[in-house]
Amino acid sequence: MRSTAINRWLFTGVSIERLAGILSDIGFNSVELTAWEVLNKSHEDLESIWACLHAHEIEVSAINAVVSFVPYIHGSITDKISWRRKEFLRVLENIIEKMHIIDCHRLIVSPGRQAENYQTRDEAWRTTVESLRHLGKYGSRYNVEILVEAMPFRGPFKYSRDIRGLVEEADQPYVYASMDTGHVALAGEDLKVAAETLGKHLHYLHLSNVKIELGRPLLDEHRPLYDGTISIEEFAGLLSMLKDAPLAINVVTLNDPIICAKRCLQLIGNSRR
Amino acid sequence: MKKLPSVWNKRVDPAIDPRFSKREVKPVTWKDLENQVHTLCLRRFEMVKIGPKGRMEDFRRPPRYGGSYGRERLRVVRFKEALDLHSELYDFGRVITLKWNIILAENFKEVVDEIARRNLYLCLHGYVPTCIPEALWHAEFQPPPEVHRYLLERLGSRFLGWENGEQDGRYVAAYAKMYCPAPLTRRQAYDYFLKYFRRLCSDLQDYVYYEGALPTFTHYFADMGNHRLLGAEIGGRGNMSMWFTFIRGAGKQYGILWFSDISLWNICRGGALNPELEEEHPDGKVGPTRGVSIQLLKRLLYIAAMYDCCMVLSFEFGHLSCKRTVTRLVDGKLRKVPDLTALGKLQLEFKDWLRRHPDHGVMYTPIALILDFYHGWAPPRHYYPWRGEPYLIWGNMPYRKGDHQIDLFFREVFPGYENASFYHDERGILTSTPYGDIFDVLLSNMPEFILNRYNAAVVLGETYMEGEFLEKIRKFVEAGGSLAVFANQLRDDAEDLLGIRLLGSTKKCDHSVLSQENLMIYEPTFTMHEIEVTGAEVLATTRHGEPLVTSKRHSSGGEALVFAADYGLSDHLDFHSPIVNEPDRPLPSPYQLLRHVYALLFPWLRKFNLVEVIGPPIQYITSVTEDPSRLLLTLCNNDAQPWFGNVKIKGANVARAVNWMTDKPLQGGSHLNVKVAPYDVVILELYADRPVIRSKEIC
Repeated sequence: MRSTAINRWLFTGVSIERLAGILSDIGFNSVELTAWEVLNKSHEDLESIWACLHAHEIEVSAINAVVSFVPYIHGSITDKISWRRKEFLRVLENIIEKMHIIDCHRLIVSPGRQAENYQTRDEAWRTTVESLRHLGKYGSRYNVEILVEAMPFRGPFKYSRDIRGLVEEADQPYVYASMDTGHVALAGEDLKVAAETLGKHLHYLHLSNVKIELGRPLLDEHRPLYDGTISIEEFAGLLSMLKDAPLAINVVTLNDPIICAKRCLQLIGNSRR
Repeated sequence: MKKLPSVWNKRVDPAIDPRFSKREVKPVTWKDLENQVHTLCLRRFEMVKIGPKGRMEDFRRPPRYGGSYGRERLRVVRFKEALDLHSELYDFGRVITLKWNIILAENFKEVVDEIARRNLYLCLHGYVPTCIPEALWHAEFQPPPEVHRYLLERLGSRFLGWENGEQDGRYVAAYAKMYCPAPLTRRQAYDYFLKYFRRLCSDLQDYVYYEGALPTFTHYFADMGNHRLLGAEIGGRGNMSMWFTFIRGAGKQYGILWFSDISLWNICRGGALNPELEEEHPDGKVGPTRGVSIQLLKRLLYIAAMYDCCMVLSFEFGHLSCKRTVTRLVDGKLRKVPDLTALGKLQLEFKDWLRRHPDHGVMYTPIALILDFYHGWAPPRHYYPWRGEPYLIWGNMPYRKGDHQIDLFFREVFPGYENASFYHDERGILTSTPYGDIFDVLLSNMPEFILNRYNAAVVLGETYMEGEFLEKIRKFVEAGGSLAVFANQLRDDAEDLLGIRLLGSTKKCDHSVLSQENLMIYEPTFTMHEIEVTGAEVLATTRHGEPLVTSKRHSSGGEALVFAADYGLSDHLDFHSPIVNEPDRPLPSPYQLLRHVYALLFPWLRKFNLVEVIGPPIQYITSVTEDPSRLLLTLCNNDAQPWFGNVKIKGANVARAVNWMTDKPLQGGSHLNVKVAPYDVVILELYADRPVIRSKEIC
């Protein structure tokens, strides 16, 4: 059965106990957590989260460090300032070390931003590859896959071909790619072409929508799947192409999150019941 | 006899602000500044790097991409001579702003000691996220605690702080959109914004001054509690008047002084001005026709002073000639020293003007524009990034209707402000002020005693009259303040205050009738909120008699206006093609200010002025003084034609007047005839033949 998750931060303010029940009722079999949720929790707290989720047969599909950490503000794997980068890698290591408690084996990261000055693109590339190698090796010790995802506003590595290049150059058995449909659309790429570009490296899929209209600002809005520029047919086409890849709906809304989650799941027609 | 307007005529002094004693990081006070408005002394010292064999080489900026100096030794050279030249021989001013890398110089302490000995002020700048400190230029650096301590020990409060400079623009242009997902609410966007600046300020010892490039965020920096001064880099970057409504407002709301730093750069005009060069610089960024024109620089200097800036810093470079020298007596000997350039002369003339007119009053801004604390508003287009997507708030949320209202309000009071930095002819940087330059922006969390210093308040944007904010407004009106508010901003019951009740329904409308004139106006389609009048006068209706604008007069003297139209704007207008942001082209708004709102709101604002300026559109600023019959009037002609007009003091004759640019007296009378040359500024000292204001006293 395909792992079908939804992002935890859609349900702000809902306790994990309640959330587990809601997700199970809707038909999800996994949930994606933020890196902060793991980082800030004790061993006991994480065990209790796992127990709550497990009671409803909900797994943790992945830990998302992309939503938790913004380059410069929290850190970046591309940072030219060496001690800052090492500090950030240590934070990610800390998360990797804890992930086994919740039986999760995927950590999503993104390339950072090239420094404003004094860092060439090549240098930023090499630094990112070096960080990924390091994380890949560290992940292998804990059986955690490092999934690299393109971010539309964390240039310059925002295209699928960049992610593929980074993964291939890192050349680590535990470093793979993740793809977010909204990010791909914001980068101006076609979903299927992007998935083909990532090919065998693509181990995880984020589903989100965006609104791309002339005269409207481009924003990484993570709109519900039914509310944006990417059509139902495009989502369906991608899902039929990637039958086995674990996926997570990664959306936010100001409206009722439960209704949103239900409608998104309905749309991808992948309820486990 | 008509009561004189009660006016707040005291300058902001952080030292007597009730919150001062509780502040961990003390704002700069007038006492620190020795009660003077300060100007710039110099911006850089000569530095050399010392190679492994002790060989000295010129210190040059490293290439932008790749490479760094590594761990070179740096030394500041000839700094005493530079200080002699700038602070004594030419006496440009007393504020030194230096790049942070000075702290790495092996004779750093010696330099600081010399600055201390001469009683000069020091600012340190150059923080740029992600850039390595080893490049010894713009960098993400952390000043070591012992360096920070030494600066405080030797300079005390004359160390003005580490610069939080241009970071608002940097955040909006490069960081705001990196958050994933983009914020859904303004509160969330504010939290994101704050994370960036907490990180930045913590690197800088939480002892900073703000030099903004997008100062509509000024209040947030003041609110952080670690900023000592608030200011902006002005020049080619935006409309100065609109920016200073925010900067002054934040300064007053939080009890922090403000300043301006005038830059020579203007992207639209291809770089920076250097009038000394005969032709454009080969690198294409500096030249006699690039950057901000010298006529504009002059107006910016004098307006900054009349905007009550405590420091008016000017120009990145170019005060002294690299080509011409003059012979001057230095230490009893004749020496050749660099001659003044046009920029140097301009600054010295301005400094001399400040010396001749130390009491240039307090800018009169009787109207508070109130925005919600989390507004995050920025003008529809700006420098960050230049030609970037228009109509964004917080750098990562699209404008909503309330944001368009703020924009359209500013388009009326500073016509063409949205063109600033987008036209080669510099339009929009300074504009005429048809209703007077009389506004400050306050945020909804302002203390009551601050709001009560104003005579009127206009509530703008997504700001809702409820809870504590409504109570503050209620007390403000009870104390004699006037109010303009839009029906969609009403939440809690305010019938006693406004004399109307919301019926909770809306309808579409396409016209209005001005009651007094019985004049029907065709309007674009708009949404009106239905209201019931329970104790107010109706100033405008639909043709079916439904109220569109009401006014309730209070016994305190205050008046409360309510506009039933949603934000006073039309519904969203359809355009045949998307709105694009391009230089030398106007930026249309997808909304239109309704004509009846225009007809009733703006004349109402104008009546709060103390003077009447009659003639073609011009920018005018009024300043009040402790003498109730003495006013100052700044007339700034931002047009290519000379301005001829009349100036009158409301309710009095001009007993005598002096033109402060020439120090020559002018003929008094019922009015003054004034001429202002194209692109020039005139400041008049006016004495009325009777008192024209009363001083406001607020506990």
